[in-house]
Amino acid sequence: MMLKLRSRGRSIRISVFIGMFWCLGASVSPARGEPAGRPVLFDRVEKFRLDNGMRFLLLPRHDVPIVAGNIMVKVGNVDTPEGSTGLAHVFEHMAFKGTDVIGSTDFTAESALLDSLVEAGERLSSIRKGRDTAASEDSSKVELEVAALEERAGRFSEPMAFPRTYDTYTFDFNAYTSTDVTAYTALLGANNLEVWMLMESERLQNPVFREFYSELEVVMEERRANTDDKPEAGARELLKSLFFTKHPYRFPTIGFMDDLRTLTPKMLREFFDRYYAPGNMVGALVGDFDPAEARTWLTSYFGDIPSRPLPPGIDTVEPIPTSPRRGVYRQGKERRLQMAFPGFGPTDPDRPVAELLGGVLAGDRTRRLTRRLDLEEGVARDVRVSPNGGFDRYPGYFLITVDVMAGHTNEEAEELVREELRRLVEEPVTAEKLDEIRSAWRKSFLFGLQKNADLADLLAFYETIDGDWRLSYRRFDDYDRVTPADVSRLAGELFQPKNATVVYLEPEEASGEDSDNKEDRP
Amino acid sequence: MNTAMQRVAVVALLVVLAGTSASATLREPSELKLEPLAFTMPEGEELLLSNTIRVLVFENHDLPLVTLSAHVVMGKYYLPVERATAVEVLSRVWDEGGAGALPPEALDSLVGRLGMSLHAGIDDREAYVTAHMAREDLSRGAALWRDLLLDPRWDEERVARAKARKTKDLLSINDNPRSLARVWFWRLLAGPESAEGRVATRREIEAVTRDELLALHRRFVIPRATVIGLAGDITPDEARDLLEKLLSGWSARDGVELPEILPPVRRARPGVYLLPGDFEQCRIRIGRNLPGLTDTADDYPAVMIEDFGVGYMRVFYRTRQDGLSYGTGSRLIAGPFEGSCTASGSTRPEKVVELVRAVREEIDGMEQRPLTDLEVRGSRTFQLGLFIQKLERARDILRLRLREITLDLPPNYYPDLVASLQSVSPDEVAAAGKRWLGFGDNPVVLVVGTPEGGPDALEQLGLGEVHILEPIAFGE
Repeated sequence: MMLKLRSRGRSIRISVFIGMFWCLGASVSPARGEPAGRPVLFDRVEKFRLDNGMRFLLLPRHDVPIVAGNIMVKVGNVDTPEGSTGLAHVFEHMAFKGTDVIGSTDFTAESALLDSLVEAGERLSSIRKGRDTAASEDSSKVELEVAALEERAGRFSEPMAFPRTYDTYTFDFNAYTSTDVTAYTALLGANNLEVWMLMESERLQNPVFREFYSELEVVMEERRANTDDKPEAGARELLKSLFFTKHPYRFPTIGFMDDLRTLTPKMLREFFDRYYAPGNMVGALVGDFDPAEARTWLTSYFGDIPSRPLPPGIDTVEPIPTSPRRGVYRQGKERRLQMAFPGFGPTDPDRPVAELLGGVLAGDRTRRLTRRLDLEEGVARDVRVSPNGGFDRYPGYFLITVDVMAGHTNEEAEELVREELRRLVEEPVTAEKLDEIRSAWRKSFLFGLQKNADLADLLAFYETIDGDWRLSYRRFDDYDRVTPADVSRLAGELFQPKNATVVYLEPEEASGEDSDNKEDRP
Repeated sequence: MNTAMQRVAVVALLVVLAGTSASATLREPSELKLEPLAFTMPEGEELLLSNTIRVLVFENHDLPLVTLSAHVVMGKYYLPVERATAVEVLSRVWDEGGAGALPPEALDSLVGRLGMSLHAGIDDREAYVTAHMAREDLSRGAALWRDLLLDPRWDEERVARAKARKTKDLLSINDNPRSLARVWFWRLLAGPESAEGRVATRREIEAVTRDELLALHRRFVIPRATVIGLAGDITPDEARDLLEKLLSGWSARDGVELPEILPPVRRARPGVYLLPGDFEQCRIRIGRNLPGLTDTADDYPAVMIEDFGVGYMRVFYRTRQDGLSYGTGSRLIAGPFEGSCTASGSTRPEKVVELVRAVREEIDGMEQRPLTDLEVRGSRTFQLGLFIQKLERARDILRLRLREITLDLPPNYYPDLVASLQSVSPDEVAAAGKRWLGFGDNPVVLVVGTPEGGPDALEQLGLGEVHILEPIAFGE
C-alpha cells in the first residue's frame, strides 16, 4: 500500500529485489573476502549506527546533484493483531500529519482537544465493536462528538502542512506499507539534504496524529478503489484467507473495512511507541553528499530519539497443509487462476532453490509456464510466479498466477499448470537454462543500480529484513550453488496436490444457482 | 554523456549547501539556510551516418550498460482514424513477432540468454525499437536490435495471437471502473471517432491482416523518418563504427515521402453523463478542450507549474483533507495540437456531488486565489525534478532528446524548457492560469457508478439535464 501522496510520482515495489540480481565482472573489483562480481560502487557504502540503535547506510555518488533518502521500518501489516488490520498502513498515512511545530498554530490548545479526541475515539471504537453495551450510547451521538472535536482541533492546525512543506524542497516524496515493512522515501536536490534530516527526524520524534478520522475516510476510499472494485484484489484476499489458517499473513495490508472503522488514535500511538523504535529502523542515503557532513547531521537530528526496546517478532507458525483447499471468487468479467504452495522464509536453505524454480517457470517468454500456457496453448494472457508471494520476513506462499484468455477456463489453465509442474520432475531443467536465468538476473541487477532511489530502497530493504545490506548481492552465491537436481527435488516436494491452495476468479455472470463466493477448506 | 563533462556542467551551476547550519535545534525547514539548485540538460553528441540517419550519443561509463534505440516517425496520428486499430495490433506484433531468420521463440531465447531487454512499440506519434544490454553483449545485442527494427517476420500465428491479446485488453476495460471512465470520458470530450476517443472493436481487430501490418512497416520505417540513439558505456566513435556496419544495407530511398500528420479533430459533447455500474465507488471525470494550448506555446513552462500547483497542491490536498477521496486531481494538459483542462477521481456514492463541487470550486476559484509564491516554488521544484531525475540514467535523457526530433519539436526544446522552468515568474504562472484554467459553464462531466440519489442527485450540479449512457461491452 502506498500513500501515493504525489499521484504523478514514481512508485516502488520492494518485491522487485527478490529473485533478480548480481552484477557483471566488468564493473567490479572484489574487496577482501567479497565474491567476484561485487559492484564497485558498493565499496563506498558506509554503515553508520547511532547510540540509540538506528542504522544508516550512506552511499555517496556525485554525478548528479540529487540525493535519495529512505527510512525503512521493520513493521508491516503482519505486526498488527487480529481486529486491527490495516493499522500499519493507516499509520503510514498519519505520519504525514505533521508535528507539534509543523502544522500547528497553537499546540497547547490543539493538544488538549486531541487528548479529548483520544478518549472519545475509544468509546466510539467500543460501540462499533459492539462492546460498550453498559454505556448504551448510540454511535451517531459519539460520531458527532468525535467530528466536533476534530473540527475544533482543526482550528489550531494548518491542514497538510507537512506534505506542503516537503513540496517546497523535494522532487518527490512518498511512502509505502507492505506486509513486512513500511518505508518513507524522498528525492531531493543535493542542496536540500538537511531538509530531509529535519523532516524525517521530526516525524519520528514529535509526530502529531491530527485529522485522524478524516484520514480514515481517505483510507477507506483507497480500499474501495484498489480492493473492493478490483476483482483480482478480492480474489487475492480469498486466497490469503484460505492458505493461512493461523499466521497474520492472512490479513490484507489495506485492512478489512470493519477493522478500519474501529481503529483509534490511541491504538496509533501505541503502535508508534512499540514499532518505531530506533533499533527497528534503517535509513539509507544515496547520492551527491559529503558522508562526513551527513554523519554530523544524522547524529544531530536522529541521535536524540530515545532508545526503546525492539518489538517482538511473530511466533505463530503456519501449519503445513495436509489437504488441498479451493475457493471461487466471482466478480467482474474475467478469469484468473491463483495457485499457492507453502513458501520459504528468508533464511530457509531452500529459498534460493525456490527462487530459481520460479525463474524456470516464468519471467520471460522462454520460461516453461509462459511458453506452454501463453505461446503454445493460447490459454493465458500472462503468467506470473512469485516464489515468496510478496512475503519477506516469514514463510509465505509460492504463488502462480495465470490471467486466462477469453474463451478458455480456469480448469484448463490449472490442468496445464499441473502438467508443467509434474514435468519439472520428469524433465529436469538443464544446467544451461539455469545459467541463462542466473545470467539474466545478474544483468538485471546492474540495471537496478542506476537510479539513486532504487539503490536506497535496495540497501534499506536488505538491512531491514536480513540485518545486512550486503545480502543484496551475496545471495547470488546461493543461486550459483543451485543445481538442476535441486530444482527437480524441490518441485517434487512442493507441488504435491495436498499442498495446493487454488482460487479461481470467475465472472460474476457465470455464477450458477449459488452466486456467493465460495471456499472449500478442510 | 561524458560523466566528467556532466559533472563539470552540473557543478558549475550548482551551489551546494553554502553556509548551512549543522545545528539540530532547528525544527522547521524555513529556519535553514539553503541555496538554490540549478542544472542544465546535457546535449550529447550528434553524428550523421552515411545513409543520412541522425544519431545521438550520451556517454556514461559508470556501469557497463548500453542502450541502443531507434525512434521512428510513426503512429496512429499519421493515419486515417479507422486504421488506428491496425497500428495498435502492429505495436504488439512488432514486439513479439520475431525478426529476420529468427522465429519468435528463437529470438526470445537469444534475448533471454543475453539477459538483455529488447522491445518495440508504437505510441501516438512515434515508434521505437529499444535494446538495453550489457556492454559485453553489445555486438550480439545490436544485431538482434537491427533485425527487430528492419526485418519483420510476423508469422500468421503471431499476428493471430496479437489480435487475441488486443481483444483481451478491451475486455478488461469492462471490469475496471477507472478504465471505463477513461474510455468514456475521451469519447465525450474528443468524440467517438477521434484519435483519442476511438476504441477498437472486435470486428476491426479480426479484420487486420499480416499484409496490412507489413505494409505499414514498409511505409514508415525509412531512414528519413528514423533517428537513433545510444546511451551508456560507449563512445561516439564506437557508436559510429557499430552503426555504419549494422545499417550499411539500409540506404535512404529517393522519392519516399515523410508521413504527414493528420491533426486530430475533437468534437466535445458537453453535458452531465451517468454510466450506471455496480461498483463500490463512483468515478468522476470533468473536462473541457482548450484549442491553442500546445506544448510549444510561449507560456507552456508557466502552464506546467500551474498544472501541478493546482492539480496536486489544491485539488488533491483539498479532497483528501475533506476525507472525500483517495486520489482526485486535475490536469492542465498541453498537447501537440490542442490542450485540455481535466479532473478525475473517485469517491463513495453519497459524496459524488460534493466531490464534483469541491473540484470545480478549486479550479474555478483559482483566479481569485492564485498559487502562492511558496506553491509556485514547490511546483517548480517538482517539474524540474522530473528532468533532473533523468540525469541519473543516460537512457532517459536519450529518450527525451530523440523525441525532440521525432515529434518535430524545436531544436534544443527540452534544455530550453528546463531553463524556462527555472526562470518563469509567479506572475507569469498566474497569467497562464487565468488564460487557460477552468471548466467554464459547459464542461463534460462524467460519473461512472451508482451515485446516491441516482441521476436526480446529479441535477444538483446545476449543469442541466443528466444523460444516461447506454453501456457498451468493449471487446465483445
